[in-house]
Amino acid sequence: MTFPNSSLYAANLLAGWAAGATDIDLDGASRLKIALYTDSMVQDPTGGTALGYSATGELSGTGYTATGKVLGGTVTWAVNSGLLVCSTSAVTDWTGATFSNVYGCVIYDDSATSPVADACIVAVKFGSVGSSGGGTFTIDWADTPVTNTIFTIDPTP
Amino acid sequence: MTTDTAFKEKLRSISFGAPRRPQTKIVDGVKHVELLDESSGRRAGMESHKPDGTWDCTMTPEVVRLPLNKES
Repeated sequence: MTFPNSSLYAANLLAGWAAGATDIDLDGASRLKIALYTDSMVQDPTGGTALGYSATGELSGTGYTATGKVLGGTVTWAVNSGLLVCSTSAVTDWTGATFSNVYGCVIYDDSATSPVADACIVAVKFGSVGSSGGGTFTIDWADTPVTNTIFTIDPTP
Repeated sequence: MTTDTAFKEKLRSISFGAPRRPQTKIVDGVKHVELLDESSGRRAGMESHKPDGTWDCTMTPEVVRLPLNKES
């Protein structure tokens, strides 16, 4: 499959929001990792099953280590004008990066053991296909509604 | 009802990314090449080609709002 449209891993998050049902840490920046993927990525967030990190379709290139890197900084879930906003304080980048065919990324909990090991939280598809030639590869998160917004949820049913 | 369907019925939408203004410029010998989303025409990223032959890449998430509930 190609890289799926951006979406949350619903099966994992539902478990995460059910008290005691899982050990996913949604704001544990030190344990959240971000991995880059090509169009060979296979973890469809909308499949309805719990999915963890997978090396299938993961980027391979100079400056990139399999399993990705720690998201770092502080991950914040906050209500902003009635919206639930997930943002990060850290700029996500890779230096000395010779990357190609980068379609998107997946953020996952590297320490989670349930509902599945290394539970995926969100898949983010980039607006185009990225490549870098020995420089720095950076993910420029959205600047609204807050700096470095990863995604925004409108919780109104 | 699948787990995914049950999840989506709890929410109205999920949004990713935000529109950016197009940028094309050369600064201090570095050529910034704008990457566009083919479907929307929005800026999707930027390559910064440096005089030494290397280049940086900055990617922005696709701009999308996913309607989730049944009425959307």
